[in-house]
Amino acid sequence: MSNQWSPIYEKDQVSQELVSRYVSMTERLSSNTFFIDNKPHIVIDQDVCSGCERKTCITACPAELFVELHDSSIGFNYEYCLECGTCLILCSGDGALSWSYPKDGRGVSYLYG
Amino acid sequence: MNTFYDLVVVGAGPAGSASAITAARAGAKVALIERGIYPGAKNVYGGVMYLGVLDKIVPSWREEIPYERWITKRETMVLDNSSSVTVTYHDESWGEPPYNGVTCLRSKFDSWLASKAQLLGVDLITSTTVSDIQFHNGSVKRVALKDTPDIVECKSVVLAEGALSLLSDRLGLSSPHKNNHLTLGVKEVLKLDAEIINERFNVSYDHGVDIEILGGLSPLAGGAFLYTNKDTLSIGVIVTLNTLKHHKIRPEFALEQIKAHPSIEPLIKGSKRTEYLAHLIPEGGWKDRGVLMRKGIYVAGEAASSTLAAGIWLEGVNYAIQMGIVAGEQAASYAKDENPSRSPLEYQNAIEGSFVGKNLKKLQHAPDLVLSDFVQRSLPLILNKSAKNILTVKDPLPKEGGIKAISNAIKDARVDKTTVLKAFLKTLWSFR
Ligand SMILES: Cc1cc2nc3c(=O)[nH]c(=O)nc-3n(C[C@H](O)[C@H](O)[C@H](O)COP(=O)(O)OP(=O)(O)OC[C@H]3O[C@@H](n4cnc5c(N)ncnc54)[C@H](O)[C@@H]3O)c2cc1C
Ligand code: SF4
Ligand code: SF4
Repeated sequence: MSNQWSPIYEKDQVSQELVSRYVSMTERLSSNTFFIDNKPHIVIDQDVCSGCERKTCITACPAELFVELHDSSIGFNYEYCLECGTCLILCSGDGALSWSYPKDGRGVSYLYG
Repeated sequence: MNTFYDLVVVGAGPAGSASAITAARAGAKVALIERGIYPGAKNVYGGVMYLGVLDKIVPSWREEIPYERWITKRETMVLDNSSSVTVTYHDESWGEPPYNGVTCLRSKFDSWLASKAQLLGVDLITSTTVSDIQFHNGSVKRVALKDTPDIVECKSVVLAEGALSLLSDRLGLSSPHKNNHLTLGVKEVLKLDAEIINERFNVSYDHGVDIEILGGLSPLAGGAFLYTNKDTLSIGVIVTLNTLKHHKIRPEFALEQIKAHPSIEPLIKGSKRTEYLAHLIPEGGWKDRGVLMRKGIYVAGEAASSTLAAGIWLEGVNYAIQMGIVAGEQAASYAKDENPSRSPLEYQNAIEGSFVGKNLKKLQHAPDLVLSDFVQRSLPLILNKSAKNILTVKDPLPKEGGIKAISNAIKDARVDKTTVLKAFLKTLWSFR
C-alpha cells in the first residue's frame, strides 16, 4: 500500500487506488450467514424500472443487488439482501418495489451485529 | 402457542425487550414477537452501549451482560487528506464499576436481554413477523402474523420495530419527515487477536477504545467509527441517504475510503473481515417522534426516532431501552383498565420528562449542524491546517503565533471568517 492517501472521490470519481483495494461484493458478503428463502421477499416491477431515469438502487444498495441490464431493465437478486430498506426508501419509481421481510426468520442472520 | 395476551410487543430489540420486562413485572401477560431466528439476528449498531438505564430493570447487568470490553478511552478523530487531529480522553476509572461505555455484540446482547424477559414469563416468539394490527371499538384487538393465518389477540401493543418502521408508517404513526433524516450505516467486523488489539490501542485486557471519526467522507455527509471488541474490531461509516442518492457513490466505497486513511489503516492492519452489515438510522430526533401513542399502541425506540446522533454522541440503545421501559409500564396499565379514552399525552409527557425527551430536545439542532457543509468539509480542513501551521517547525522562518496560524488555516480552507464565527456560535448554541 502506498503511503499517499488521496481523496477518493475527486470530481465524484472513484480513484484507481480504491478500485485496486476493492474486493468484490460476493467476497464481502461471503463472510455473512444467510438462510435463503425459496421465494423473493422483494419483487421489482420491470415496467416501472425500465422507465426510471435515476436508478438510485444500483449505487445505493449496500449489497449491490441491483444491476442495470442492456435494455435498461433491472436485474435483481434478493438472496444476499441485508434487509436494510435503503432501496425501499430511495426508490424513485412509483410502486416499483413490493418490499417485505423474508418468511420464517430467513434471510440474513448476523452472528456479531 | 397461547393466543391471548394483555400486551404484544413487536420486535425484540432493546426497546421491545425492555418494555416486555417492565410490563411482565407489572403483572401483564406478554408476547414478544421477533422476526429474526434469535433476537439480534437482524440487528446492527456501531458498538458502544451506555447501560446505566438497565439499573431499573436488570440491576445485576454489570455481572451478567455478554460484554466485549469496557471503554476506558474515547477519541474524536478529525480527518483531512493525509493527516488527522485526535482528542483523547482516557479514564481508567471507567474500567471499574459503575463503568461508562461498553462494547457488546448485538447478537449476544439482544438475546440476553430477551432472555431476561423470558425469565419473567414473557413468551418470546421468534422467526415470526407481525404483518398487521387490527382494531375494534377504538382500541387494539389483535395482531396478524405474516405468512400464516394465525392471529394473536391482545389489549395493547408496543411497537418497537426499529428504524425501518413499516407498521408505524402504515398505521400513520410515523412522522412524515422521518425518511428525510435517515442515514445508512455500513459496517464490518474485523477479526484481530486480542493481544494485538491490547498493544495497538494501548489498553489492558478487558478495556477498550471508542473512536468517533469526522471528515474524510466528502462529498457524502456523515461520520465514521472504530470500536474495539474482545478479538474483533467494529469499523463503519454512517452516511445520509440524501447524499448517497445525490452523489451516486456506493456506501462500501466510503467505508473502504475510511479504512485506507493513513491514520486508520495501521490500526486495522492484518485483520480479517468476518461480517459485513448494513442498517438505517433515523437521525431526526425529537421533531420526528411521530404519534407516540394511539388506540392502545405505544411506539417505542427507533421507530419513534429515539436515537441521539450528534457527532461525538451516538446513543441509541440506552434511549431505546428507556422508551421501552415507559412504554411497557403504560401499555400494561392500559391493558389492565381497558380504558380506550386514556390520554395519549400521558406517554408523551413521561418520555418528555425522561432523559430521552430532555436530551433529544436540548440537542435538537445538533444533527443538522453535524451534517452541515461547514462541519463536514471546512472544519476538518481548518483543524488539520491549524495543527499543521502550529506544529510544523519552519526554521529559519519565525513562528507565526497561534492566532495567525489559525487565521491562515481558515484562509487556506477558503472559508470566510464570518462563516466561521457564525458556525462557532451555532455550535455553542446547538450544544448549549
Ligand atoms: C451503524 C449503526 C451504528 C450505531 N451505533 C450505536 C452505538 O454505538 N451505540 C448505541 O447506543 N446505538 C447505536 N446505534 C443505534 C441503535 O442501534 C438503535 O438505537 C437501537 O438498536 C434501537 O433499538 P430498537 O429496539 O428501537 O430497534 P432495533 O434494535 O432495530 O430492534 C427492532 C427489532 O424489531 C424486529 N422487527 C422489526 N419489524 C418487525 C415485525 N414486523 N415483526 C417482528 N419483529 C420485527 C427487528 O428484527 C428487531 O429485532 C447504531 C445504529 C446503527 C445502524
Ligand atoms: S433492503 Fe438493503 S440490501 Fe436489500 S436490496 Fe434493498 S438496499 Fe439492498
Ligand atoms: S430506483 Fe426503483 S424504480 Fe428506479 S430502477 Fe431502482 S428499483 Fe426500479
